[in-house]
Amino acid sequence: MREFIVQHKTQYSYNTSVMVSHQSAHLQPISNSHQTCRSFDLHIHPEPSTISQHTDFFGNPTHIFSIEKAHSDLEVTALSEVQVFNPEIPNPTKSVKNQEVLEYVNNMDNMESPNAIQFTFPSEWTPNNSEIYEIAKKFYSPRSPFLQSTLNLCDYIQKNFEFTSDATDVNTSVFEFLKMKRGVCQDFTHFMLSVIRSIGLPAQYVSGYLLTNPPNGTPRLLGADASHAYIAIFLPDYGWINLDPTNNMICEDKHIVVGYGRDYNDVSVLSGTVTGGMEQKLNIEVTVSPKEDWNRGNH
Amino acid sequence: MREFFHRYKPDKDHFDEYLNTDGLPRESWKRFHKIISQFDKSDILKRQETIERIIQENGITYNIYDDNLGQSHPWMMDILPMMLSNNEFLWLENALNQRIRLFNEVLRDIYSQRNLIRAGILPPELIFANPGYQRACSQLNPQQNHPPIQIYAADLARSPDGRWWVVSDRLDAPSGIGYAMENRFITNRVMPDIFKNTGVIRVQSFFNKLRESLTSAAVNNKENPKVVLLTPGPANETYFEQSFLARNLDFPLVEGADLTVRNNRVFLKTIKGMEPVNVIWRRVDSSFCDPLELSKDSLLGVPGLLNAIREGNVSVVNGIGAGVLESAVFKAFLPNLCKHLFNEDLMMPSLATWWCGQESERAYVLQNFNKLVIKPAFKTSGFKSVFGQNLSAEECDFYNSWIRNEPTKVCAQEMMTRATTPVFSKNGIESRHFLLRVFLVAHNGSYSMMPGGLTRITNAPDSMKVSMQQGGQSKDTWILASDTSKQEQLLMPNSGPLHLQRNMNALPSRVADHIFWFGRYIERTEHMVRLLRMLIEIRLDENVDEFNYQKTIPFFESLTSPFKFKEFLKSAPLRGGFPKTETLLEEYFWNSNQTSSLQSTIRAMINNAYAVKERMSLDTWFIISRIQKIYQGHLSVEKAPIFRQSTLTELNELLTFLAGINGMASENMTRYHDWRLLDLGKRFERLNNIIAITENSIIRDRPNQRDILYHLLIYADSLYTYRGRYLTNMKMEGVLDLLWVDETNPRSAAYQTNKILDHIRNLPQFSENRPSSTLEKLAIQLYSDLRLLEIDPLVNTIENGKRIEIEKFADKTLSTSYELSEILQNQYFAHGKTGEFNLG
Repeated sequence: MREFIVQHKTQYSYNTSVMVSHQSAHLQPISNSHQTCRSFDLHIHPEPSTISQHTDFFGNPTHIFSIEKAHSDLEVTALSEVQVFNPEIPNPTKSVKNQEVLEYVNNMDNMESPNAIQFTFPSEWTPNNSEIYEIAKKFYSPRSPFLQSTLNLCDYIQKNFEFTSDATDVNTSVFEFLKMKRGVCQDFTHFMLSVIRSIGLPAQYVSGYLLTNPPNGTPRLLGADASHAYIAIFLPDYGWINLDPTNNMICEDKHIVVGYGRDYNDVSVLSGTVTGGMEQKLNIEVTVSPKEDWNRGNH
Repeated sequence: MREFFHRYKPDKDHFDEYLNTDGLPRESWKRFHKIISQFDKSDILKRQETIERIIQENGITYNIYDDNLGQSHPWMMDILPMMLSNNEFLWLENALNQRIRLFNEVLRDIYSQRNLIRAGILPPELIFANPGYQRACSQLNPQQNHPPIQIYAADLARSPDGRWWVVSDRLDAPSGIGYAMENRFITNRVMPDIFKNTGVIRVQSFFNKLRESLTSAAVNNKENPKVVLLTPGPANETYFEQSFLARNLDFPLVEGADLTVRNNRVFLKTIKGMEPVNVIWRRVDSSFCDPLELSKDSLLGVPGLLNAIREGNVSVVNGIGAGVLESAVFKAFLPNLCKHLFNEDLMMPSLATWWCGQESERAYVLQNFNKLVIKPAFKTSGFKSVFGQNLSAEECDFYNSWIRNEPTKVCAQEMMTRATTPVFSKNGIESRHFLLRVFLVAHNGSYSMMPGGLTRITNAPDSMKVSMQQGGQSKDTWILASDTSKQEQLLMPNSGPLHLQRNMNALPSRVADHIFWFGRYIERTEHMVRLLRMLIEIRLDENVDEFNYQKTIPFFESLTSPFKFKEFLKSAPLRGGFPKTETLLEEYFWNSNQTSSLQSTIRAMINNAYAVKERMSLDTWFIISRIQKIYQGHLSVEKAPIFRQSTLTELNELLTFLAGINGMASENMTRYHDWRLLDLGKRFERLNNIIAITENSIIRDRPNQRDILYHLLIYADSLYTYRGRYLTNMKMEGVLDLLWVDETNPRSAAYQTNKILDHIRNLPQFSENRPSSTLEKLAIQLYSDLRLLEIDPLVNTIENGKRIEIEKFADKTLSTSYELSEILQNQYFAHGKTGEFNLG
């Protein structure tokens, strides 16, 4: 078990006054069998007129707030304390075979199937085409183990795709990403999901964070980190297991989950509608720190 | 008419509403047939023409997308009604009650526990792969006591054996009630005699139930809830009926931008401030209702609406997300669902439907391709239904492989031979296929069906496709009472004692904005007409020479602007040594791309009128539809020569219509905010125009100054007043006094500023006790500047041949007027353009 402090700060500045702002936030880390969110504090400036919390369709804590007086800056800071448990990693080569996973999730008599089945369908950001389906067929032969196939696919992506932040933006489709073979974690994740779902296998989008290590001897810098995106696949005899295609690894205790969904749209960190404002500037600072470092002031 | 009906010979392979298989009138038609047979054909023809006239006069329209007539395709109604016996009606009402109960149950389940998926009754694809499934609506408001479907509509078809089948269910934001009501109003006007003697059940009680149903949906303020009708706006295909319903039910017709969520409550923005809203009857599709949690690019919705529902502060009818069950594919599962949930057989059958996501069904579809209609399983844009039998071999292959590749996205429906009904036409009575749209509303624990409906007929005898979008016709639908003495009042009966009141519902800010601009464009149109008429008259009366050319200059400068006119002259084609100004006239007459042409001005006037249609009297609307007709006539006859007597006749006619609108406003409008804003718009416009045109006319002396003054007075309709005072002594001082300073002249600038001040002092939020607002101060300044104006220095201060004091005064007045109008708009109409950002 490891304990983390995550600070996620989002700042908007508008060139003209915003009169009314309605926002929806996915910032509070979910509590489940992988992790527990021990405390969460959402600080919003200016003071919101209303703020309410509910659990969304996918079980994620969601905050909706509004600011109903004129403002030209908005600052949202989430401070979370999360315990992450070290998961028991199943043996990939002995995991359930693809064909059996398919049969399992399509049989509604199984407890988890009615939930898992929804993550087998393409979504707005995870469509597929014949090219994607051909890739899927290569990796997901019926008799291969699901986890091993997925690790192989991660490996393939790692070798053939380049991680770079200047090639794509939030509107890049998986088809474009497949053509360019360059992108960020969100592209890697959407692409991965498209491939797995084209076969009808269950996989979720995970929004979260990853602990990075500062270069040897240097202190952890505030705001040097970022939001992260990766996937979770469903193994019938295990449950959901998180994998990070960008870093080609099974998530252990350095990944912190905020929420799950079909794709980015379902768990976007902050989305909203403002009246007025015209143009906006956005600044995001994320700090992921082991709790002991944070307490020592070594961010 | 007898011989007319004798020649009616429908095909035998389907059911006909009028004749049975022996060729004799059916029971339901007997009463009507007996009465109508005694009429002359010419009488019926005349009544059919009356129908068309009523439709035209009342502006009953159906918007056809991508139609260049824009927002005004006339509704069409056939004089022969559709007829159903009371027994058949009662059976349908009962069967559809079960069907709606079923939909409610399914909706409750799929938006909460989804036990139907768990139980294997609903394939998961139907929900999870359905773009109509709104995840944000799950568990939205578990405490809500009203059912998700409060208003329901279905399109029914009759099979050869006489049974009714549901072709499609309308669950999200059903349309058609208003058109059905309107058809009944027309019937009442066109054939009260026939109608009365046939013993038709009145529909008024349904209207009252609809209103009660909507008000009863309120969670808060249950005694006097505020209900609004949320429209997608004037461009929507059924906007007409939305405004019709809003007016007749006395609910404000609002667009998304009229509403705002504050403190998790919904408010209507009005010129008096914000009014809480308790119930929203939405005609906006589910996915567009809230850009915060649903479709993010929607401009039609209200940000934060879902959370207001979640907090239990507002009710939305029908429940957001209900549209998911409109997908054709659900029809295949309804019988099973009904058995599973109610242990009952489904009474009301739907068109046989096969979902290709199931193996044996898919095999059936592939084998019986040419007998089926291939449809998208879910409502998606892009692909339309196709008739298997109409496909080429190549297309068949395409659909075949598509079904094999993406079977879950496809379903197929049987091609039913639908019943026909007689339709009146000039050549006789023809038989046409039809669909019957029926409406039910939740009332006192069950659903009441409208004793009537909207029958839509195909536009060609051999066509099966019913579509108002493709120019189909409609029919009134009569339910024949078993007891013919049953008569209801047509007027709205009041359910409680009447409280006398003088104020109307507060004006929504957006509507106020449109009214103001409607006023401005009425006046701007009049200005354009007067200018164009004068310029054309000058050309028609006289030959072009230096003298005549010179005197048109100030008016061309007013039509364009002094600067633009100078630019035009630089490259103007010449004729006889003078610029060929007709190209300019044509541009400002015809060209609808030129924003200040007559055509554009009329279009802007009509567009603003459409946006406030529900607040306009029928008589006013009648005039507007006449103007629209002329305007559309111009668009279809591109660029006929302008210098014709007929152009003048037309302009004069237009002027008469505008006078009509102004007359309606001054004689018939209650002196409430509507009227003040409309008049304010006119006053601003007239002030600006009279200042500018006078400035152009007298800023410098021209050789024919007398003539120019003469035409200026004609433009301002003030020639007779002038002559009454000064006879033929045409002097600048006299003209200036009459057109600028004389407050008794309703065309003068001073008169306009006086009215502007008066209106501003009578708008809401104005307080006598507080110090003057900027708005009032500016209006006082505008008014007193004109009242205190000295004429002599204006006329006699000349520098470099220019009357600089005229120019100074005009500039100052115009800029104050502009500033005043801006502040006014910001204070009363600013509904805040919603800038949408998808953050993160």
